[in-house]
Amino acid sequence: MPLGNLAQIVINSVIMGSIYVLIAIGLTMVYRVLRFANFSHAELVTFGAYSAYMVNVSLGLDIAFGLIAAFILTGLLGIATDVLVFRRLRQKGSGTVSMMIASIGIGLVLRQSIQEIWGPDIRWYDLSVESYSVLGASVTDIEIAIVAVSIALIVLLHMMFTHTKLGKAMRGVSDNPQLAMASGIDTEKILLKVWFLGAGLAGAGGVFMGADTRLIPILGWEMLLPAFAVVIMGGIGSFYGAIIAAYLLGFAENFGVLLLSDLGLSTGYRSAIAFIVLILVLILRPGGIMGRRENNAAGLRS
Amino acid sequence: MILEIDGIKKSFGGLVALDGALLEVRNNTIVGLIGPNGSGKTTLLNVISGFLVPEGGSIRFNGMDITGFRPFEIARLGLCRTFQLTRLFRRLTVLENMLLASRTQDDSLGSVFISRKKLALHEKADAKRAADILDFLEIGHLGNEYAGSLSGGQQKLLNLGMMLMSEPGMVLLDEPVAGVNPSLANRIFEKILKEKEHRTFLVVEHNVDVLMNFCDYIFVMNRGRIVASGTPDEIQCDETVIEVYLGG
Amino acid sequence: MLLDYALDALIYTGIYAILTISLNLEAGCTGLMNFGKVAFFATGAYTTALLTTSGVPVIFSAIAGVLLSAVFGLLVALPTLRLRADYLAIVTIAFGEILRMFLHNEDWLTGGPIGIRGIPQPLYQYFDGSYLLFYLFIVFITLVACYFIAELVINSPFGRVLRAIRDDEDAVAALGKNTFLFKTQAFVIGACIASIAGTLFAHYLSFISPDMFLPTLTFSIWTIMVIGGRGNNLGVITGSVLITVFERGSRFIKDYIEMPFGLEPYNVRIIVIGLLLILFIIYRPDGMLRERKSRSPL
Repeated sequence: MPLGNLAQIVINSVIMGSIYVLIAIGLTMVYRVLRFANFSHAELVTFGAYSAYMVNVSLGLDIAFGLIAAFILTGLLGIATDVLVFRRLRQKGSGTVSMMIASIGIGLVLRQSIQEIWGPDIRWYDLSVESYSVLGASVTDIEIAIVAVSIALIVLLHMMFTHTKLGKAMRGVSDNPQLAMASGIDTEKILLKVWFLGAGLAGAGGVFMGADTRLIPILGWEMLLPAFAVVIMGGIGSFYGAIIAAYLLGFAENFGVLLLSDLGLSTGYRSAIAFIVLILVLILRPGGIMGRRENNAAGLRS
Repeated sequence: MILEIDGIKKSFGGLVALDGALLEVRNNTIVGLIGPNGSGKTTLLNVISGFLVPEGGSIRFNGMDITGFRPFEIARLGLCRTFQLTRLFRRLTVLENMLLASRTQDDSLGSVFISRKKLALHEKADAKRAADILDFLEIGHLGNEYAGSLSGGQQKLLNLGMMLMSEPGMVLLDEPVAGVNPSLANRIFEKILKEKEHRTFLVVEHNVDVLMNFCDYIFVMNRGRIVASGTPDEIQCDETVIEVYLGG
Repeated sequence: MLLDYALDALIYTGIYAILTISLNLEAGCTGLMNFGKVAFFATGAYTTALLTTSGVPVIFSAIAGVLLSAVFGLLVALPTLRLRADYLAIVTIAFGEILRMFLHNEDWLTGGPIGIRGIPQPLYQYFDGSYLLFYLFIVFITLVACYFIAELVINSPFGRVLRAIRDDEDAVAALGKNTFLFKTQAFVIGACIASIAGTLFAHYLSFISPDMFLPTLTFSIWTIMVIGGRGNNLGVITGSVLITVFERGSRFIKDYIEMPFGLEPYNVRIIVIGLLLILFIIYRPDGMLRERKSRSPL
């Protein structure tokens, strides 16, 4: 393989990994703390992408403002879904099954509302893209920004989890909600902050995906499978696991696509790669790559 | 010996929960397993019943090595357990909970279509047996209630009933009287005592006083090991035991 | 004209009811979160479409669809059903999408995005003019059969184990039952019944394409089950009637009335289905018809 091609695949992998990581961290945070798979996470991603569109195209501001707006608005939407739906279910003592079903309902409402507002057709951000050549591969300034901002956000999150009171409280709540409550932490307040961060990150991921490709109402839905593959591969609730898994999946997909075309299969199967990765993880290490041995064993006995 | 446990090791991450636990249980006895919180009693129970796989050591039941067997395989051999928090099937009726525990009913999918008559006959016989057990436990009038609607004490009794229904050779009881008032606790243990001629019991209990009255033999656990054993009288005078409970 | 609309709505009701009965067996009774129901529906539809357009009689193509669905069901069940309950939800949702991708991409076999046309309508020549009525009869008979089979299964010792697994799987294992085996069987039966619904669907429309098998369909079926009453097959049929009347009715009505604010009827329909799902799961999780107390012994 020529060096240029290899460089291009590596670059594309890093870009995809940088997008997956934000979406997956948001998903894994909520999963860990509330203990259910939130299927409406997909639509939070889409909503983020379109709220940036509002700022960037409808208001004519720079996409950077779009990104900030997307983070905040999607974060607030995440809180809204909790206050309106999930908190009510918690108060009624409903189990994870009800939570998952409700999240499906929220997903339907959000996705179709987005389609009602912005229509089913493809849209693009208003970006002035400049392309650079690196080792024979091309990369745009937008893509460089995606990777840089994504890594910056990861570092910020890492600092927050390890150094701030809020981060430690979040970890406490996710490790043992009862204990956290007993030690005077207002879990409901922490939960709202988890929602804001988790959903905000999803929104940011949506903006990046929209900037790298295009905007459609199923933008987030298409990211759902890779996002879950990353979360499970990383080990549910594992921040660092999700980071590693996101980039691994980025590479697996981009090299996998190459394999697909070598095998004469349609590159339309791109997202099947995430599925295969997911199944392999479930068979080999159901507790995730970062999961400890007994987590993997525990994964085997529901 | 109906149950022989030798050198069981189990750890979670860096934490050692069982550190070579060793005990033996003779047929048709009631044996107590006590120890302070976190001493590894429930972990040991989980290992014996197959819900956790030990890292070392062996478990023999009726002379057969069952180490590493899956929970349902162990239960099928007649080594059954109850859980610390009563675990019933809340949306099944009391009678259904009992019928479910029967180990002789054919619950295969094929039988639904092929041998319905046989199923119905067996079901009738089981229902009769279930009713007798429920009467014995004095909850016979609740047969058609949802198990989830029973009071805590009634649920404990139903749990005991299901265990009797499955006619196991040996039963592992995880805190069968936790959170139950003393008179009911005594009643539950009297029922267990009456069953002693048919089967063997290993009882994990926090409430040491109840055990002293009913057990033939007691093992004391601390930090993943058996640190003392003997008859209730011997245990009450044992210095190690006093140290474990008072000194921590 | 109006009669045709009514017959069409009834046929859809029947097909959705069969599909929901299959979901009810897995999710309502056993607690298996199958979010990829549409995949098994599509398997039945495409198998019969491919085989009958090559001249295979419907009976055999229907059986082939059931068998293929069973195989798919096993493939999904084996790696997932031993694991945490939510993994099944994720894997099934993904399986549905992968299958649709396959149908979309493999033009040589499935006709790609255009799909398959000219699927024969069995015995059409004998019922020219009243074919809808005849087809409704076929659907109705199949629904009744599926209903009785499902009831038989649920109210048997086998079904009792399934309902117990829904409440507490570990406790079932502690009673000496191989829960994995029970779950797998429930999942495979569900897959087979869904395939039958797919067969009926393909021959009714006589053309199918990947766009008919969107995940939204799975979620509509979930909504039907939740509002009808999880675990109650009569409730599930009632739910099918309501949702289908709403769904087909809103298609019918949009030709005659203007939507306010120029809203797109398709979007509104799905938003309403999503809202119903949320509202029922919060305020009436048992659905319209609560699960009945089992009258055991048999």
